[in-house]
Amino acid sequence: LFEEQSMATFLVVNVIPNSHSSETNQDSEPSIGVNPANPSQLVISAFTPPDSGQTNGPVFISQDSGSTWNLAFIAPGGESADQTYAFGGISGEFYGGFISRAPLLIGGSANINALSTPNAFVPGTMAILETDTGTDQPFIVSTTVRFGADTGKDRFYIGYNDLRVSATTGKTAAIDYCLDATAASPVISTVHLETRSAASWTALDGNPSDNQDGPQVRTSIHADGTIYATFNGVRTVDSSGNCTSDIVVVRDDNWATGATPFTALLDPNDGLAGNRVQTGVKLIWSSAVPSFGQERTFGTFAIASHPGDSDIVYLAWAGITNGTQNLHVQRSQDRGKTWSGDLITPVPKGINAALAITVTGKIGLLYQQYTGTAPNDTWDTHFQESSNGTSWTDTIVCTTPAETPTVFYADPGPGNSPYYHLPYLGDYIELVAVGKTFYGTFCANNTPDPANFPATPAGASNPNGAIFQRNVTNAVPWNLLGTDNATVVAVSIDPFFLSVVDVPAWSDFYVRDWTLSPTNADNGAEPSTDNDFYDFSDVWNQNSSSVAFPPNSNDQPQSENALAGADNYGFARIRRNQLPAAGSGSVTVTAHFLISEFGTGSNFVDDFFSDPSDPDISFPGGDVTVTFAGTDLGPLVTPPTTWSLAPTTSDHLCIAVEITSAGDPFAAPGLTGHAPGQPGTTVSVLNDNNKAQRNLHVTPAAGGGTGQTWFGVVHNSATFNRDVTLGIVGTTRPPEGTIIQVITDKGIVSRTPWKAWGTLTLPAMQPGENRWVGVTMPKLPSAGKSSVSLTEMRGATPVSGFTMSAQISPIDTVIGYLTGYHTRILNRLRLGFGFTASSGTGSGKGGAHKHDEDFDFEERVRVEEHDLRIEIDVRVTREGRHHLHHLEPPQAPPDPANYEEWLRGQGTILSDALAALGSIDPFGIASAIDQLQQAAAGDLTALSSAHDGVLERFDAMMTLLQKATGDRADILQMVLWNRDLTNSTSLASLPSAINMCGRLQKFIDSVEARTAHLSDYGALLLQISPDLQQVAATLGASAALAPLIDALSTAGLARTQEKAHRDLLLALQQMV
Amino acid sequence: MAETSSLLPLAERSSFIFAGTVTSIGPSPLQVLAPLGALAIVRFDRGFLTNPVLGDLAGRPITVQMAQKPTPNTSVVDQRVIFFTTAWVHGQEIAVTEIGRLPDTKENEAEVARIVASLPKTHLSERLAAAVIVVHGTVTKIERATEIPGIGSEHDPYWMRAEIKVKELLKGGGTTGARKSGTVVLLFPGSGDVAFRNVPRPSLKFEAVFLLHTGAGPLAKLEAHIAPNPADVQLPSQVTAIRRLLAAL
Repeated sequence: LFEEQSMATFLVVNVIPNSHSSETNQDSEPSIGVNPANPSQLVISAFTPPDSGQTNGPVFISQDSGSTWNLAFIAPGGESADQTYAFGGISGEFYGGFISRAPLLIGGSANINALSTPNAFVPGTMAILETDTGTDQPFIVSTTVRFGADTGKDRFYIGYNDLRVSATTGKTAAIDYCLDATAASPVISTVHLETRSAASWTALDGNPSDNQDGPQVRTSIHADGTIYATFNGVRTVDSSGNCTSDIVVVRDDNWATGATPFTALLDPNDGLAGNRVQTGVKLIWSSAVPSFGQERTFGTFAIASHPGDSDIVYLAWAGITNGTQNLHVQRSQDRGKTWSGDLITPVPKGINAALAITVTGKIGLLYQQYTGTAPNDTWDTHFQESSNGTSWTDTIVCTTPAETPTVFYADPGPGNSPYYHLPYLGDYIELVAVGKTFYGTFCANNTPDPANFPATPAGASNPNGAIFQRNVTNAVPWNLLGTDNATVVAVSIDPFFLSVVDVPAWSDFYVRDWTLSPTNADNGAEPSTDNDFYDFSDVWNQNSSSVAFPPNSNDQPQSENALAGADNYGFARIRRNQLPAAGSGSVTVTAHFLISEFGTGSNFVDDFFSDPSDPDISFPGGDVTVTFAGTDLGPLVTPPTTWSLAPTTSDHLCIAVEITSAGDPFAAPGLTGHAPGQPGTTVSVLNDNNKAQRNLHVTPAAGGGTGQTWFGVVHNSATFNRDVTLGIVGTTRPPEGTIIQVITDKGIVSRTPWKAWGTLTLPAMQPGENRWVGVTMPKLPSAGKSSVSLTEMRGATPVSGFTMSAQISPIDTVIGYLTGYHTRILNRLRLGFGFTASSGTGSGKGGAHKHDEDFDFEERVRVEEHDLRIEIDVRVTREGRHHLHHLEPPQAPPDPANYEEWLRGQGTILSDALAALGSIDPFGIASAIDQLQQAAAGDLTALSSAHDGVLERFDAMMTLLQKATGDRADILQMVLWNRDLTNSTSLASLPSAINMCGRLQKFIDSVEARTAHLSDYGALLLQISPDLQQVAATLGASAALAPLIDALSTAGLARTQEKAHRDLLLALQQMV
Repeated sequence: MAETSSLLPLAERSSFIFAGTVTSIGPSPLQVLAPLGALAIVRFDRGFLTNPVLGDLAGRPITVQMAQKPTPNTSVVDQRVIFFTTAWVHGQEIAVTEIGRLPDTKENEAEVARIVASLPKTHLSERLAAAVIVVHGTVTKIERATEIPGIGSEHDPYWMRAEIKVKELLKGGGTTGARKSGTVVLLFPGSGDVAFRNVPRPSLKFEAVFLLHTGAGPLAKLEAHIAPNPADVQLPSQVTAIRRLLAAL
C-alpha cells in the first residue's frame, strides 16, 4: 500500500446561503447530483427544514460548479427524511429518491417517492412518479441510454430496503427502477435482490414477523447498461443488536430489462445470484443510540464501476474486527466474480464511504472517521485518490470537534434511554465523478476555523479555509454570525460541498466532438453528449489550401477527403468555457495530429510510425500550437499541420487530434498506437475532451445512382480474441434495401439488411485482425446526403464509429472526383503493386499520365539456402519527400461525353490491374468492372456509380493486400499483446517472462510518452528473442516457436517485423 | 388579485407574506435565477409572515416570480403591494413565487396582519377538530411501549407510552378509558431519528393540554393515542382559550 501525490485542487464550500446565516439546523445526511451534460449545475440535499407553511422541501442548488449555493424549494412533501438525487445522463432531467416522513409520525411506514423535474432551477415542484411503498434509505443513480431503439431514454435505479416484504419473504434488499423516466407515465418496477434467507430481527425488536436485510442498498450505473448493486445481507441478529452480514454484490448486464434482473453475478460457492464478497461480517445495530461519538453506525456500503470499463468495479464496506468497525475497499476486474484484498489500509471507525471513478480512471474515496476520545474527539472527512487502485493519496478535507454541537436533547426519566437527534452527520455522504472532476458532499460541525479545513489552506479569498456563504468572522475568534452580521450563532451541523479538480474550467481546453448548429454543440462535457464524434468534430482536413476554411452556416468545420500522393493539412478548433483570473498570462496549447484507417478499431499513427524506407503517412509539419491570451475563450483555430500521404496508401482515413497544455494534458494513454474504444481502460475520444476525431471519407455521388458501395476496416484492437459488435445507428435512415456485408480475404462472409439500431457481430476476431464492412445502397436519393453510421459497441455503449456517406452532387463534381480518384488508384497500383508501363496508366482522354522521370525503384531480393532465408526489400526514392510529387493534381473533369468515352476505355486496364493483384477477388472487382461495362450508354449516373464501385473495391483490395504484409500501426498493439500473454498465469513467474515484460513495458511507456523511435521496435524484438526462446522451452514448444522467433530478427522493415511478431503471438496464444 | 374574503386560505398556503415597493421588472440580483419574464424586484417594507431565520429584511430586494407577466398597461413599478408568496430560492437574497397580492393600503395591511396573527389559532382549531380526545393532564409514567413491535429500521419510532393523569377532559373520550380511569395513554417516538425531529416528547410530571389523535398501522388497534404535531401539546395556560376554540367548532 503506497502513497501517491495528488496534484488536484480542492474546493470546500459551506452551502448554507447567506440569508440563512442565523440557522442552527442539524442539516445532516447529504446527497449530491451533478448534471453530466452541464457540470456547472449541481444539487445537494440534507435534512434542511422548509420554512413554516412551506409545502415544498428545500435543496441546495448551484449553477457555477459549486462556487455559490442557494436553497430552492422544489421537493414535494415538506420536510423529508432520507433523500438522494441524480441527474439524467444527458437530458438535464433531475430525479430523486425520497422518503416522506409524514406517515411515520402516525405509526405508518416510511414511503419512497421517486421524483423528477425537467429543470431543477426554475420554480416548481418535482413530480411524484411512484406510489408509496414502505421503504428505507432510497439511493438513486441515473443515466441516459446512448444507443439503440431506446436512445435518449433516461433510466434510474433506486436501491432501498423494502420493508413491505419483511413480514413475508424477508428478502428486503430491493431496487425500484424506471426504464423510461421521461415518459408521460413512467413505469416503475421493483426487483428484490436477496436470494438467500435474511435474518429474523425478532430477538431485537420483538416483532415476530420481521425478517430483513440491512438498510443499505447502493447502486452504480454504467453507460453500457451494466448496473451493480451492493447490499447488506444480514443473516443473524441477537437481542443486543449483534449482527452477522454478508457483503453481497449483484449485477445486471442490460439495464435490468430481462426477465430476471440482477441475477448475472453468481456466487461461486452456493451458485445463487449475488456474489458474497464477504461473509460473517460483524456489525452492531443500535439506530437510536450513538456508537461513535454522537453518531450511530451500522456498517457502510459504496460501489462504483469504471466509466471506461464496466468489468472493473470498486466496493467499500465496513465490519467489526478487533472490537471496532473498520472500513475496507476492494476491487474486482472481472465483473464482480473475484475480488482483491484490501486496497487501502483498513480505516478504524470509518463510516459513510462514498466511491466514484473519473473518465480517466481515477478512483475517489470519500469517508468520515471518528478519532480520539472525548472531549478531544474529532470527525475527520478524508478524500483518498488513486490512479491505479493500489497507491493512494489521503487528504483530510475537514476535521472538526465531535462533541459540538450536542445532539442529546432529553432524558425521559429513570429506566428509559435518553433521546438523541440522529443521525449526527448522516447515514451516508456522497461522491460523484463527472468528467475528470470529483464532486462530493459531507456534513460537519460548521465552526469557520481554517484549521478545520486542512485541504484548503486559508488565503485572502478564503480566510476560513472553506468558503462560507453565511456570515462568519474571518479572524480569531472563529464565530458564526447571524443575518445581522453581529450576533454570534451557535455551532451546528452544516452540509459542505467538495470538489477535487484536476483541471479547472479556465484551464480545460477542448476540441468539440460535435456541432449541429451555432447554438447546439459540444460544450466539452465528458463523455460527450452526442455519440457521433466522427462526423462533425472540430478536427478536420484540407487538401486544397493551407488556410483554414471558415465554418459553414451551422458553425461546422468544412473538411475535405484526404488525398494520397499529396500534402494534406490538418486543423483543429480549440476553446475553453471559462476565463482565468484577470491578469493571468497566456497559455499555449499544442495540437498533435494522428491518422488511422477509415473504419473502426484501427490504431492511430503519428510520426513515430513513419518509415522513410517504407513510406505511407508522415507528419513533416510536426505539432502545432495556439496561444490563448488571458482574455481568450476561443475558439482558436490551429495553424495547419502538414501531413503527407504516400501514393501507395489509401486515402480513406480518419484524422484525430490530441491537445495538451501545461495544466490540461490529454488523458493517457493517448491515441498513438491505440484505437478509440480499445478494450481495457483506454480513455475514449468521447470521454476525453482533449481528443477529437473525424472521418475523412465522404463520396460525391450522382443523385439516383445505383449500387453505391463503400468499405471500412474493422480492426480488433484488443489483445485477445473477441467478437466485435457493431451497432447500426438508426437516427438517419439510408435508402430502402441497404445491405451491410462483412468481407475477409475469403470473400463475403455475411450480408445483413440495414435495420435501425440493429447490431452486427464479427465473431472471433484475432488481435490485429482486419475485416471489411461494405455498405451498399441500392439507389441514392436525388438530393442531400445519404449515409450509414456504424458504431463499435462495448455493451450498450458506443465507443467508436464511422459513417459512410454519399453527398449528392452535380455530375461534373462527381466526375471530377472520380477521375482524380481513378488516377490515384492507378498510381497506387503502379507504385505499390508494380502494375506499370504497358497497362498501368491510362490511354484514354483525361486519364492519368506516366511520370517515368519521377519513378521509384522497388525490388524484393530473396536468398534461400537450407533453413536460412533472407528477404530484403530494396527501394530507391529520389530526393524529396516520400513520393509526394509523382502525381499531377487531379485533372479538370472532362465534359460528360468525354468522360464516358474515357471511362469505357479503362475497362481493359482495370481488368489487367485486377489480374496483377493476384488470384483472389473478395471484394468483387471483376463483377464491378462488368457492371461498369454494362452501364447503359449515355447514363452518366449509372456509369459514375459503377465507376466509384470499381475504385472503392480496388482501394479496399489493395489495403487488404498491404496489411497482409504487416502494419506498422499495430506495433504497439503487438507489444501490448505480447506483454499480456507473457503475464498469463502459466508464464508470469518465469524469470525470462519477467525480464521480457520489463522490456515490453518500457517500450510501451516510451511510445505512449512519444519518446520512442521506430527503430526501437526492431531493437526490442532482438532484445526479447532470448526471453522468448526461454519461454518457448518452458512451454515445450521450442520446435514450433523457434522459427517464428528467429523471424523477428530477420524481418527487415518495421512493417514486416510487425507481421513476424504477430505470427509469433498467434502461435504463442495457443500455448498459454 | 385576491379578494379579502379569500385571504385566509391564501395566507394558509403562503410561507412568506410581505408588503413592498416594486422597484423594477427584470433580472434578479440572485444570479442563480434564470432570466424569466415575470420577475419583479420588490423592496421589502414590512413582513407579515416570514421565516425568522431570515432576520431583518427591511429594505432588501425581494425577487418575486409574479403569477402573471405584467404588460405595459399593468405595470406595477413603483407600486406598493402586499404579496402572498411561497419560498422559491434563498441565497444571498430572497426569491419567492407569488400566489396572490393586494394593494398595499392601510386597511389591507391591517386585515392581512390580523389574518396572519390568527393563523396559529386557526391551525390549533384544525388540530382540535381533528383530535379524538383533548385532555388537560399531567404525565405520571413513561415507559417503552413493548406491545408495539419494532420495524428493524433506523426510522423505527421506538414507541414510548406516557400515562397522563387527566385533570379535565376537554373533548371526546366517551368510549375510551379516559373517562373511566381518569387516565389516557399517549404514544410518542423515543427515537430522535430525523423522521421524528419535531414530535413532542413529554417528560415525567409534565403538565399540558394534550390533543390526542388516532394512530395508524399497529397503533390503530390500541387504546392509546398520538400527538405528533407540535401544536398537539399546549401549555396549561392555554386551557381557557382551548375551551373557547372547542366551543366554536
